[in-house]
Amino acid sequence: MATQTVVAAQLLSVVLWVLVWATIFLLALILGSRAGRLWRERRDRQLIGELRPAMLAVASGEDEDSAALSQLTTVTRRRARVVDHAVSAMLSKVKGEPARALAQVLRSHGRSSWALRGLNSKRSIRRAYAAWTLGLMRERESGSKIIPLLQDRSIDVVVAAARALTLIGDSKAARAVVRAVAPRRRPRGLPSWVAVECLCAFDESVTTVVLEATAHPRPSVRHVAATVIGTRPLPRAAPMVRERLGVEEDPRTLASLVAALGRIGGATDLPVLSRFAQHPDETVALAAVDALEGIGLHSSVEALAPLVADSRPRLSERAAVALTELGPQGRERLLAFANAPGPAELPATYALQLTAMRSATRGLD
Amino acid sequence: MDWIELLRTAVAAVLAFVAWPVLIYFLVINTSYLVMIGLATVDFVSHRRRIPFAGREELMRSRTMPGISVVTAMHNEEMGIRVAVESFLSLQHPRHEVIVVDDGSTDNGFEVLRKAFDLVPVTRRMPQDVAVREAPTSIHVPRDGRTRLTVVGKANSGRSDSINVGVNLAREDLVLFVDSDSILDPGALLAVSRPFIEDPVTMVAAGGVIRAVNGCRVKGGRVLEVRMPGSPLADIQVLEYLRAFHLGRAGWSRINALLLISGAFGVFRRDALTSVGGLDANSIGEDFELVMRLHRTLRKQRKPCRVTFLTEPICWTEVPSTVPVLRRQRTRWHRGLWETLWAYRGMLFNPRYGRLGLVAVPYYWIFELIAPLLELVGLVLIALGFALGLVPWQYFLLFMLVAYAYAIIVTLAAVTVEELSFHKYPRWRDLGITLVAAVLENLGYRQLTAWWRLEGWFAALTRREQKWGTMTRSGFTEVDS
Repeated sequence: MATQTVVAAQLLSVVLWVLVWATIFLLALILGSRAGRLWRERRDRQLIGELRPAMLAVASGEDEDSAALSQLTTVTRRRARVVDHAVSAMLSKVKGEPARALAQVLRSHGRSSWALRGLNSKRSIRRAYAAWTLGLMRERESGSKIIPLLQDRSIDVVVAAARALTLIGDSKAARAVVRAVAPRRRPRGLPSWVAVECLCAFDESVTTVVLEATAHPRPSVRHVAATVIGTRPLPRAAPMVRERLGVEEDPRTLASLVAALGRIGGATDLPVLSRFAQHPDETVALAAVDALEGIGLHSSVEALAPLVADSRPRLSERAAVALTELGPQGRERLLAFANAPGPAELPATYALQLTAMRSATRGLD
Repeated sequence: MDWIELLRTAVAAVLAFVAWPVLIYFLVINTSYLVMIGLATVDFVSHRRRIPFAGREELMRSRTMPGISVVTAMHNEEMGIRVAVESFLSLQHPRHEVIVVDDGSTDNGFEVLRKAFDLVPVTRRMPQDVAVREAPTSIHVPRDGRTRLTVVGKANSGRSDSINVGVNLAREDLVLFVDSDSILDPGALLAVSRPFIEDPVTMVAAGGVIRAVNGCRVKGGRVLEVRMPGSPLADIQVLEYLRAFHLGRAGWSRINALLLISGAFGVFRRDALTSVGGLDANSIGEDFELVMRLHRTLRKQRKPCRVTFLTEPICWTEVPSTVPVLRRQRTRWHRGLWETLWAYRGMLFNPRYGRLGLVAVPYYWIFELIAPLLELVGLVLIALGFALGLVPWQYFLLFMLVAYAYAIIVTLAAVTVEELSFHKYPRWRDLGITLVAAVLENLGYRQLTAWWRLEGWFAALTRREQKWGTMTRSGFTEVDS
């Protein structure tokens, strides 16, 4: 019988050679990248070593005679690259005069013009870093040049631009930020929390944009708007929030609207919030309990008390704990519940137990 | 010797019939791994580039960060439970609670916790969001009333049921499942919460990277120094975790078709989790089953649903260091895979589920489920062909070299991505061990695990009793200072 050769041996040999060369290439890449990385790390450590005290002095605002600042602004070009990298990392964490001084270091090394040129680069990573660098330097006048990047095709550029605008605080970008959350051409929009932080950093003039966004067709945009209203907070948005509560379909957004009303609403909103505390979606109902507590008025006690007997244990417990936060009146109601058999007994007892334990150890904190 | 001639004829016929399909199968499966690694690379590159402006520090202060309940089950783990709970409580997050469910331990695990955290009993009504077999018999909290720890006592009913009890008691919007003997990196909670504030409307679940803790230097529930285990069995598993669990899942996540989040470290939106009934206590592949159920239920309800995999958060867990334990683990995994795929066979090639039904589920059937069968059949046939003189030895050698060289290339590609991105193993020695393990994996380990996977499949088909077995752990390498 003839021997079996499934695939021609010559073909297998060729494939084997290709695989051997691929293996050699990958091994070289692994070893080369590791060696290169270690070399770069060592070089950077050496270059920055003696400048570190100066950087810390500037960043902490202790450079009273500006000696450290002038040391950093006059480094060689080779060192400037490493210094810029370290200063950029520090800039996102500091504010005020130290931030201005660190930005000056970057400007003295030509980073400002480098960044402005980079905004139109063909490489997305260059555009992202350019926008971010301008943001770190709080270059207010460059805000209008960064705003178009919120519609960039690369999500990295969009995120960098939004975070840069957050640092700059240019409220002209508000509409573009909202648009970036639900872009038409890109599959992924600006992350919700980045948009929220951005809109919260802008001045009061964003209110109109946020109010419009509460009625946007996409729930992700409406959620951002509702969160901004509650987080900033935006008291002027209260009528719109009340209106949207009646029509909002997305439960997550509805919960955010309810939470927002807890921050910006008043006594007249207690009946509405009490109604939402009965909502079948527990996330919405829990948000309503928190909102009732957040309003924090005498009448909140009356609104929360019936909820302690709610059939949903998580809700009843949250309502009971909320009552402990509303002063003696709330605790009196709980005591009454705890002493009477019924559905409110257990949650009330638990909340009172928790309060007692906290009070007992308060002095030990 | 007529029977030898008969066998030669039969093997020759089978070889002629299946050789090309098997060869193409190997080519496609390894190429698919390479594609997944490629997709994951895009994700890693993007992730690494974004780090300077991603705002990781700002996450901690973000007013939009949802609370998270860390739920863990313990069963006879008195040795390590205190350190584990301390480490969970000290994770960076603005609002997190820890719920430990004691699954009928017969050791002093509960006493250890009671003394360490000064626990006192409280009376709480447990929500019945998810059905459980065993209700809690006791609920304890620290006496200070502030430390966000809840320890629940109940009769033994298995890990999944215990986790469900924890889910019922969870108060926060997100629920994280984690094994009590796993170690989380300090920023793991923040990172794993991130997808939920990036896309709060549609994100329902996220899984994170799991790596082997064997060989690492650990102190007080923190990994101080990452090292390769040093034993060939565990070294090879490090590579497997990197290739299949890390890069593979990142690749699936990249195309929005992730089907599996590991039960050792997965975070879920509580409302989505309870709406599908929590973990299935009867399933042996409960983590896979849960994600499949989430996809199926939410798609049927036309609710937006995204499941993602994070390249960044790190959960460290001990991988089996002995052959019997590894065998039990692999048979269980494959059995769980089969049972879940069979239970959800309606999703196969079903366009209603989009990429999941048309790409991911068929891939799991063809390349995850059947792979061990085809690998062993191919191996046996070519070996038989060689033994019977049907295949010349030079050809046999060439064939084997090509087959395994491609597998080594796939592993090396994974190591390259790791080296270019996270490079978690800093020592040159560890790199050497990794490269040796990439070759050793193909000399026995691969074939053995394929056999064990078939055993698991066979056990499922013959409806043998399901057993979790005991994961014998040798503990972490704790350092003194």
